[in-house]
Amino acid sequence: MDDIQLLLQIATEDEGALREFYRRYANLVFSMALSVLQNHAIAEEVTQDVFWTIWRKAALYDADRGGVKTWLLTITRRRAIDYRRRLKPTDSIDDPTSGALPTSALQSSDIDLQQALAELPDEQQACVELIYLRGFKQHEVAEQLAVPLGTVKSRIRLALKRLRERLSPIAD
Amino acid sequence: MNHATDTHTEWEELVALHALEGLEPAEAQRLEQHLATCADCQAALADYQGIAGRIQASVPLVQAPASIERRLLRRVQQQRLRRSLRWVATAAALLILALGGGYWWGRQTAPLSASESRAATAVARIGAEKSQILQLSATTGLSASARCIWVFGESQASLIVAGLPPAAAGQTYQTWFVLKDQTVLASTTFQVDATGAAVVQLVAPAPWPDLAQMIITSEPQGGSLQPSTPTLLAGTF
Ligand SMILES: [Zn+2]
Repeated sequence: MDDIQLLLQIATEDEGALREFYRRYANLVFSMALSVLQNHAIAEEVTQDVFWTIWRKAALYDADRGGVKTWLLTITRRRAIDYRRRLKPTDSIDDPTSGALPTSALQSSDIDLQQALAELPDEQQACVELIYLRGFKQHEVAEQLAVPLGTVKSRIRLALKRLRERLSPIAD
Repeated sequence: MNHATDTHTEWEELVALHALEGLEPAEAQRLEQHLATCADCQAALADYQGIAGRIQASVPLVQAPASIERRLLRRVQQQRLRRSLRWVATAAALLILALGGGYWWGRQTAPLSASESRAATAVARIGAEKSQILQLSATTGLSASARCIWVFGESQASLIVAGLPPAAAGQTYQTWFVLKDQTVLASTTFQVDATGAAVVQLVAPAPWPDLAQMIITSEPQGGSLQPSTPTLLAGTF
């Protein structure tokens, strides 16, 4: 049974289908939540919450808007960011150096991306991760890294411009 | 597109931040207006969003703890139970109102009878956001069952019993709580009605997380200090 069939089964409240879906994606969802939150207990909470949402709202999946895995990752990342903002509104970025993407631990399936990321200057990598994977706001990143807001903006622009050049050489 | 580079850099920054979901709503709105007129930025945004998806999919994989699945499935079962119970309890409440019914319209301001208010409380608990339901099953051949419903943070609970035969003369039913250290604590005694049903109010003798089991036995009128007969119904927290 493919993922979409499974989601349809879940939408009919088939508990076995939920279990199977969980078996396929629990590690991915938990990993994303942990990446955002850097906290095991809250990442567990978010994981349970994401699958609970799937259980009640599997029917909301829209195949036109991307694959199931992408959908799930996006839901999880946003949910985890919500949790982080709600639970610790004053939380600062714990350690800017740990903000760099841990390239050695990345899944090896997307080697091109991995290499392109590794070639970015550390401070650009850190800004990309803090904004996108950890959900900090621009001004929070600027405060924490003690750089002007404009620097954060331009690091993000330069990072994505470089990644685009490296990853889609056909684009002008 | 002919852009003066200096002024267009700001749009490029907004496009990059937008792809990483890092814009404030007002900024995003401003960008949308520009996107409508700028093919370069549209193309960049599409590419950047693709890259963002790849970054997201490259999150380092770790093993999810097994406890998450157990909690998820418990939540699913609780939902099912709550849903079916809401019907049972609503039906029970309506039945009780109907039985007292001849007078119902004439005594709208009269207080509810004890059984009416217990049933109404049980219905409210089942509907509460943080309610938990413990199912008690018969340990013998009895076709009886019971559900205990409580709300997190409250010590009071409702016990809904179905299918118990009326207690023998001089006997009563009694509920017991077993703590995690195996201590058995006496709780309320109750009688069932002619249909074998009862709605009972209980007070937990300890915080809910400290409780291991809830059991029901038949005891001499007035209740006992320790269970004196075999368990009839039991549920494990
Ligand atoms: Zn533009």
